[in-house]
Amino acid sequence: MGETAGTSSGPGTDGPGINHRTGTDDGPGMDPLSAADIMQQAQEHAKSELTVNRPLLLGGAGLFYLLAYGTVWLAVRAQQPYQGPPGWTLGVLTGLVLIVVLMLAAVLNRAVSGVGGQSRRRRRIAFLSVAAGLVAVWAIEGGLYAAGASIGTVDLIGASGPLLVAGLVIAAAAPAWKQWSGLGLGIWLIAVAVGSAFAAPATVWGIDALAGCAGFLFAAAIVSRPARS
Amino acid sequence: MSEDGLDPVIHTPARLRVMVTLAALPEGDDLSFTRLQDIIGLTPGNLITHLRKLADAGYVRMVKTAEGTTVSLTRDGRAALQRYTVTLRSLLDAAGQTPP
Repeated sequence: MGETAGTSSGPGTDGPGINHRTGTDDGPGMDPLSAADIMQQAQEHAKSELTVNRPLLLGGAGLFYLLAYGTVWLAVRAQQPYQGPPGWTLGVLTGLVLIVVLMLAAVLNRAVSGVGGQSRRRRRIAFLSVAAGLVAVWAIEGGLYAAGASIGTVDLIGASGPLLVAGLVIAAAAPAWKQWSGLGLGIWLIAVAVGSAFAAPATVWGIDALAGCAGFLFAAAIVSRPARS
Repeated sequence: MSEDGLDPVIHTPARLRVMVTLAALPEGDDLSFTRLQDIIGLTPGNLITHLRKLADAGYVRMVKTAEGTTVSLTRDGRAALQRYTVTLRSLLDAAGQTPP
């Protein structure tokens, strides 16, 4: 159903003169045009209430990668030899992670509040997978460090590992969510993570910052396009 | 069916809104009673009355859990809404009215 049929409705009304806050009976009869109008209003309202703002979510993730990885890259790009991110970058990254978590909670909360069933199970699986993947990346870093690997090798895993985890989870979840742009984004992130592994340790951060951000922003642009009718 | 072929169980403002709102969820998802109430804007008493009529027709499923009552559209309900939409379009087309 397309645009509204020129009827006005205020708060608590059901469209053309129908107040749905009153009466428990079947209410006044509807002509087909009024019914179509109510359907269209209800569809738009439900969509605005129950749909996750994916462009905002993806755009936020892109900016996070740019700021977080970009900050580290700026801090390490002049290091000769490579010594790893200085301590102050840990504070910046922690702050950015907190901001992203709060943003994620704010964006998701409105759309998913009260929604249960398969979608909730899939969300939990996705979050658990990302968390398990990140813990695994940090564990591997620890293992490499303990085995005497150079800081450059350890940081290569530290930089590209989270991107690889995010890419794998996004790509794996895309078919279940029927979000094919997610499959493209996931594969792109995996390719960036693998490709950047061949760069110099300091450059890895820069490549991941720019290419990771570009992938997320491109996906945000794709999903924000109006659907073809 | 009513005279014009529209399903009378759905063809009331409140129940139509309930059906359309639940249909906005992917199949397999449900909505808490309180969230549905927030979205539809009905009082709890009104909403439960309409939900019972829809449940009696087999269009919605209400499940009581420890966290509260959840509501979801059944396959029959989704199919009934689809039929309702098709009938409504044909009625509007026949009357020469443009659907909103």
